[in-house]
Parts: sequence; structure tokens; C-alpha cells
Amino acid sequence: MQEVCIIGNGVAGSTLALNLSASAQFKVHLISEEADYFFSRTALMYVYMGHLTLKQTEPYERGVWNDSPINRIRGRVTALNRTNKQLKIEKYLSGTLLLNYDILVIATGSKPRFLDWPNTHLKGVSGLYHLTDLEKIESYTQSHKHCKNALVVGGGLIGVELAEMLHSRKIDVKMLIREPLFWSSVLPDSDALLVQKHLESRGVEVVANTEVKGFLTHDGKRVSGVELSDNSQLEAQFVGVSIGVQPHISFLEESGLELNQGILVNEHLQTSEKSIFAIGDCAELRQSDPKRRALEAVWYVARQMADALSKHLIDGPFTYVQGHWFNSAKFFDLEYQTYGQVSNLAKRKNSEQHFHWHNTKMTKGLTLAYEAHSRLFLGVNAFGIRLKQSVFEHWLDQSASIDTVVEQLETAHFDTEFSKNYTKELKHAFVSNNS
Amino acid sequence: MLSYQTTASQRAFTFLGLLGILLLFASGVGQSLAVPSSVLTGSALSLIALAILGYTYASYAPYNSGVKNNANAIKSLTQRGVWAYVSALALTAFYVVLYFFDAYLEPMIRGFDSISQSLSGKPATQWFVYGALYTLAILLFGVKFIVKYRHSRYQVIRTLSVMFFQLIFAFLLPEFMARLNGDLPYYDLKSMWPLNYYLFDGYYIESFVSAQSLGIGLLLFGVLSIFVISPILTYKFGKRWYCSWVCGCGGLAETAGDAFRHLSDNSIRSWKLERWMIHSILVLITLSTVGVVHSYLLEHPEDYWISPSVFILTVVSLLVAVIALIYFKRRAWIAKEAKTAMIIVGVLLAGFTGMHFLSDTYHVFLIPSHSLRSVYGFFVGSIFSGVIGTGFYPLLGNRVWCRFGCPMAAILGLQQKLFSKFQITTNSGQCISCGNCSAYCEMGIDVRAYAQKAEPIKRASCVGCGICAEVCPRGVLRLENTANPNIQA
Ligand SMILES: Cc1cc2nc3c(=O)[nH]c(=O)nc-3n(C[C@H](O)[C@H](O)[C@H](O)COP(=O)(O)OP(=O)(O)OC[C@H]3O[C@@H](n4cnc5c(N)ncnc54)[C@H](O)[C@@H]3O)c2cc1C
Ligand code: SF4
Ligand code: SF4
Repeated sequence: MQEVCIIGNGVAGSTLALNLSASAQFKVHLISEEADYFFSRTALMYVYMGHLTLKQTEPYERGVWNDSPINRIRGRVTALNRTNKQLKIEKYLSGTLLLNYDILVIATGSKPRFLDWPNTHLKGVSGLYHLTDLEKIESYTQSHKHCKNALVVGGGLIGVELAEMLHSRKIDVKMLIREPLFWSSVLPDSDALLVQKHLESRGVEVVANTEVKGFLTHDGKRVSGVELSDNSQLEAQFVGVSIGVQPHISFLEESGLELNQGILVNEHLQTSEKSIFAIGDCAELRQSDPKRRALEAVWYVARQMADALSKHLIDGPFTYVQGHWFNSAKFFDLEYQTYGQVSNLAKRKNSEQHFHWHNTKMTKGLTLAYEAHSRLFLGVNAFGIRLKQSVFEHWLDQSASIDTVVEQLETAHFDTEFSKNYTKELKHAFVSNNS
Repeated sequence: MLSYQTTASQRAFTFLGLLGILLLFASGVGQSLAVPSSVLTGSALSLIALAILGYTYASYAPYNSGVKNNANAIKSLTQRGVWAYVSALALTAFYVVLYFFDAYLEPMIRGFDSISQSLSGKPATQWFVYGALYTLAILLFGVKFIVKYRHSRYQVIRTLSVMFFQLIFAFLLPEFMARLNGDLPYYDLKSMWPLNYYLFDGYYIESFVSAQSLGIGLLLFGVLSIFVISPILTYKFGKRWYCSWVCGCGGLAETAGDAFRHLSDNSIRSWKLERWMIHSILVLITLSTVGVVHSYLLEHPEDYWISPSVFILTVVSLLVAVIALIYFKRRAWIAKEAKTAMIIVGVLLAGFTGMHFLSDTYHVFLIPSHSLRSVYGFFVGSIFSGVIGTGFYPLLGNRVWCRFGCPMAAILGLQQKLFSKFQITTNSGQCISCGNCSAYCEMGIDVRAYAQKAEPIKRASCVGCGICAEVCPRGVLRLENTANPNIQA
């Protein structure tokens, strides 16, 4: 029986732990500092808004953990000794523990990224990643009586969730973004505009082309606003920072493991040390698919890596393959799904063509990317429209043409029953666009 | 944790509603003040209507459409706080008075006389008052539900359907039919056995028969509903065609109970309890219905062409035929559920045999047959479906009765599991395990457990309300009628 230590009980660590514990080959130790039970980080906004209790976000009933042979340890790993194959753990409320492993899996996830701003320590400034962040945000923003104005710095997916959270408590929210349009670092302009219009329709002001220089305070304790790079100032009682996340691996700096931004891993998710693996947000692939990135901090990737590593450890060599990119999000009430590759303005090559359609109210929209000459379908962004993943994966596998995709679009329909059918209008636009 | 603040207008409308309820119960007092009780009742009902519609406007109109469950997990009323207990107590008290101390309601009932007279030509009874209030609740909270989910056509159409069936089929038609044909017993066309377990009661059959062709027609329709119409519809659409589109209990749960759906317990333990309860109730209701018909036939040997023993034999052969069909068509399921299936069949067969030998004209298993009926009527019909089923909305969720007690849901659920094209399809690997679907499933189904494994959801208890698909922030779930009914365990 091999001793497997897993650091981090997020989706990557927890999925792996459950998979491995079903096999008699392993004794699994799951070490995490954040919470006793695996909860869904993606649902933190719903806890804040009162849609769910924290317990309801736990993907498995507590009994599943209590009845499993997994040894769960609440604590923070502070050092890794590779020569002795030993971890040093500061246990939650109860001292230090040394733990030996045969196999170590690091799944410590991310932490919010901050720039070298002055005054980030002020009360009323927070990122959103860990439970402790949520507690902080909760205490700073009880209601619009405590907090009338809030700013969100950065406009990614977590930023928009922060904005929705604050908005639900009737707090006036502005989003400060560096780009000219919301999330145009990822979305083509047609789509970024659609999302931005939606945000504005919900009462959120998007302040574009803006960079933050630092945080302001009246009393040296609480934040009172931000200073922008043009030296103007904005008032706020809360500032949410969401300019991205970075791997949570500072405890490994002296371990001698090969690190870049994340922990470098090969196609078996193995680090520079044979007995040590890394999965989830903290793992960076040495060699990634040209269409994908080496570091992908999303839920799905973390889960897929955990499944791939389980197979590798249980049944022998198994290669983690990135496959077709997909992701989804929700901007207030506007759902977003993407399959395959749709480049934004900056990254788009001349050969990549886009066909964009949206309805007049701008509540539904679709962008299809394809190669100009071969008409090879590359990918789709959908807004306010639900599309079937399996159908799109099939088209991408088969190298389907854009014409096939448009013609058979109904087969990918995943909207709720009785929804208005938009495909006729879309096809019409496609035909007139092509002629 | 933060204390959630309702807005001033929400509080004002809530107050107005409470005032209306108070006035309704006090309408009897009005007589002594020489105000006609119908005027008081009318004003009370208008006040209640104004309150619910105003609350709806105050809560949802300022916002654009979209899922609005803010503070549901925080508010006292919807998270088992003080207000939840107060309202559960008040609702329960109302049911207890309604069932057992209706004399106290007399003044209030008189306030409904003029409405009742105009419909059926008879004075109001406590059941008429209950029906009227029930219908009003479905209509008003139906409007609230529609406004809340106005972005979803499935929800809007489904709710209009529930409102229509309650108003026309459950409330108005029976009253009109009573006016047309005074002998006809109350008959809600959309209600079928085993829901109206009294359908085959001697007195009920007799009053149908005495109402001649219309009555016989209705009786035939009742039988047809059970054996033909319902299985076909369930095959095509799943049990939702009834439970969340037609049924009155379901209608109230979906509309008035909407704010409480997240309180349904979705633990594995409660799923086990649910299966035990629902199967036992199914066995009980089958046995007692067959028992009642059996003793009725014993009582009237000359009137019918079928003898009691032939009747029992027919029922047994039907049972055997169904079991054989399941065995040949759904072997995988039988293999998994063998124990349950065997217990059910065993108890039923033993029951029928016992009935044959131990029953006479007035007894089923040596127990007087009407006491069997009234015990069932009391515990299941009154206590469970009313007091716990509705009274406990704010504590146990809005579908306790549908989930743990309703024999109709049990039968439809079995059909749904065994031969239906209905399922909830999962959009491959898109689930982020957030838990909204499981939390807001009123039937306590742990939808996420399937979704995060990318498996379709095919559960006997799913009433197809579609709320899981509505609250899912990633568009992972879709209700579909296109599943292959053959591939499932
Ligand atoms: C608000 C929010 C919304 C999101 N929404 C989406 C979404 O919609 N879709 C999507 O695809 N992705 C989303 N993500 C990203 C997604 O949540 C992450 O990609 C995913 O949770 C990563 O999982 P993980 O297991 O790698 O790490 P984590 O979930 O971060 O888990 C790591 C755990 O390890 C613990 N840990 C770290 N260091 C140590 C240590 N030294 N010792 C002990 N324990 C340690 C941490 O406390 C943490 O509990 C969202 C993220 C956030 C914050
Ligand atoms: S699974 Fe979905 S559709 Fe079925 S009862 Fe639950 S919430 Fe309604
Ligand atoms: S609501 Fe959707 S994303 Fe959330 S757990 Fe359910 S299926 Fe998954």
C-alpha cells in the first residue's frame, strides 16, 4: 500500500482523493487549510447573495467523506522535504505534524493576483478566491447602508461575479478596466460590446481605458477610494480586485521543484521529481497544445487533470490530453458558452473570419469563427443561447465546415423547451453575409 | 451573517395581506355590525389579492428578468427562522380547524354563500370555502411565479396550465356539474385513482350510477384515465404532464410554495425514506381499493356480472402480467431493484389471497371495510396531504406530500422510471458543481450528483418542474422527451 499525500481539497485534490480511495493500492491523506469539507469555489457568489448556504455548495454529502478511508487533515503545508519525502504541516489549531509520503500530489490552486500598489492592506480591499476573502467582503459590505459605492478593479469572470454580488445588495458598482471594452482581452469586440451593454442594462458602469495607481484612505485603516493613472480619484467604501489569479505555490520556493509561473509538469502531470505530481490551477504544462494554454485556471481543467492522474496512478501510464477548449460563465443574467477557438481582436490572424449575429434586443448573440479559405469551423461564442457541447465537439473532431455548422445548428440546440427559435434569423443573416 | 432587509413596499404589502387574512376570519363578526358578510369577505379577498400582486410588483418589477433567489438562504421566512415557524403553525392550525372543528369557521363560511349560490345554487360548505381559497392562492401566486420567471417560456406556459386546470377543472366545473345534475357527487375530472381513492367506494359508485349516463360516463372516464390515458402521457412526457402541469397539489406547491422549494432535504437518507414511504403507500392504497370493491361485490352479488373471486383473480392476473412485462423488458432494473419489487409483489399477493379468504360483506381481513377507508382517509387524505403537506411548506419544503405521500406520484414515478421518454439531459462536462440545481429541486433530488458526472437524470420522483434547468448558471440541464426508454437501469 502506497501513502499518497494530496495538498489541497479543491476540485482537483478532492476528485483525485475520491478516485484513489476506491482502490486498495493507496492510503490517501488529504491536507487542506481552507475548509473541512470540499466546497464549490465557483458558488461563492451564490453564498454571498443568499441563494445557497455554504453547505449546499459542497459537491458531495459529508457522509461520503466521513465514511471514506481518506485521512483528512486540516492544516497548511509549510515545507516540502524531497530527500526525506516529508511534509511539514501546521495543523489547524493544534501544532505541527510531519507526514511522509510515497507519492505527493500538489493541488493548491490559485490566489488572487495583486500588483505592487501602495495600501493594498487597507480594510475594504479584497480579492475573491478563498473563503476568507468571502468573509472579508461580507464584513465590508453588509448592505448599501455600510457601503454605498464600490469599485471592481479588473474585468474578468471573477470581477463580473463580484459586481453582481455587490449589486445584489443595492451597492452602486463601477468596474474599472484597462481595455477599451469589457473582457476584450479574451472576447472579440462584437461579443465584448454585447456583454458590456448587458452589464450597463443592469446598472453597472464600465469605466474603460483606466488603470489604478493606488488606494486612498482617510484614516489609514479603511479604504476611501482609488487613484487612477490620470491622477483623478474615485470614491468607494469597498474595492474588489480581480485582475487575475496566480498559482498558490509560494511554500515551494525552497523545495527545489522546477517552477515557472506554476509547477512545471509533463504529460503525466509529473513534476521534475518522479514521485511528485501537480494538478489543477497550480500546474503548468511544459508542453501544451498549440491551441491551448500551459496554465489554465478553470474548474473543468482541474477536474479533468484529476481524472487523468487517477488513471495514471491506478492503471499505469496515462497521458493527459487537453482536447478542445470549452468554458462557460454568466454575466449577470447573460449566459456565455464557448467551444473551440474564437480569438479576440489582438490575437486574431488574418485567416480567421468571424460571423457574428445578435438579436435586436442584444439578449442573444453568437459568434462563429472559421478559416477564410478552407471554411474550416474553428469555434463558437454563445450569449444567451445554450448549445450542446457534444455536438460541437463532434464538429471540431470532424473538421466540419462553417456551412455545415450553420446548416445543422438546430441539432446543437440546448435552450429550455418552448424557447424562441433564433436559428432562422441567424441563417438568414449568414446567407446574406456570404453573398 | 447579514440580516436581510426587505424593502419598505414589500413590508407594506405583507402587512396588507395579513390584514386581509384577519378580516377574512373576522368576517363573521361583521354580521353583528350589520355589514353584509359577503361585503366583508369580498373586501378581505380583494385586500389579499392586492397584497400578493403588490408584493410581486415590489419584488420583481424593479429588476430585469432572470433568476432572482437573493437572500433565500438568509431570510427568516425561507430559512427556517422565526417567521417560518409562525407561518407553519398558522397554516397547520387552519387545517386542523378546517378538518376537525369546522363549526368555528361557520361565520366565515357564510361569507362565501353568495359566491357558492351563483355557481352551484347551493350554500357554501367548508370545502367550498377551502376550494375557493386554494384556487385563489394558485391564481395569485401563479401570477407572482410568472412574473418571477417571465424570461422562461416553459415556466410561463406550465404555470398558466396549472392555473387553468385548478380554476376550471377543480373549482368551476364540479360546481356547474352539480347544478346540472344534483345527484352527481363532486368529481374533479383531472383527479384520478389513486388520488381520488374514493372513486371505487360503494357509495361513490352508487351515486354515479344513480346519476345515470353522465355518471356512468364519468366513472368510465375515471377507469380509462388510470389504465390508458395516464400511461400514454407519461410515456411521452414523463410524470410532469400531471404533477407540474395539471395537478392541484402540485399547482399549489409550484406557485404558493415556490419560495420554499430549497428546503426539501436532498440527502441520501431522505431518498431512502422517500422510497420506503412511497412504496408502502402504494401497496396500502392498492390493497384497500381492491378490498373495497371486493366487499362491495360481495354485498351486491346479483347486480354485477363479475363475482368477487373472479374480480380478485383478474386483479392478480393483471399484476402478474405487469410483472412479466417488466421482467422481459426491463431486466436491468429488476436486477437492481429485485428486493423492493419482490417485497411489493409478495405483500400484494398475500393481501389478495388474504382478502379472498378473510373477507366478507363488511370486512376486509376481518377489519370492517369502512374503517379501513376512514383510517386511510384520515392519515393520508387529511393529516398528510393537508396538515403536513401544505402546513409545513416553510419547514420541510413545498413538495413533502408529493414526495413522501402521494400514491399517484408513486404510480406515475414507476411509469416514468420504467417506460418514459422523459429525462433531464446533462450538457457533457459543463457542470461547475455549484449546487443550485440540487438546492432548488423541490423533490430533493441531488441533481448535481448526476450532472457533475455528466450523467442524465432519470428519477422516479422528478416532477419536471424545470427549475433545476432554470437556476443552473451554466445551462447544463435540459428537460427532454427524446430519451430512449430502453436504456436505463
Ligand atoms: C469566485 C470564483 C468563481 C469561479 N468560477 C469559475 C467558473 O465559473 N468556471 C470555471 O471553470 N472556473 C471558475 N473558477 C475557477 C475555479 O474555481 C478553479 O479553477 C478551481 O477551483 C481550481 O481548483 P483546484 O482544485 O486546482 O484549486 P482550489 O480550488 O484553489 O483548491 C486548492 C486548495 O488548497 C488549499 N491550499 C493551498 N495551499 C495550501 C497549503 N500550502 N497547504 C494546505 N492547503 C493549501 C487552498 O486553501 C484550497 O482550499 C472560479 C473561481 C473563483 C474564485
Ligand atoms: S430534477 Fe429538476 S425538473 Fe425534476 S423535480 Fe427536481 S428541479 Fe424539478
Ligand atoms: S446548477 Fe448547473 S452547474 Fe450548478 S451543480 Fe447543478 S448542473 Fe452543475
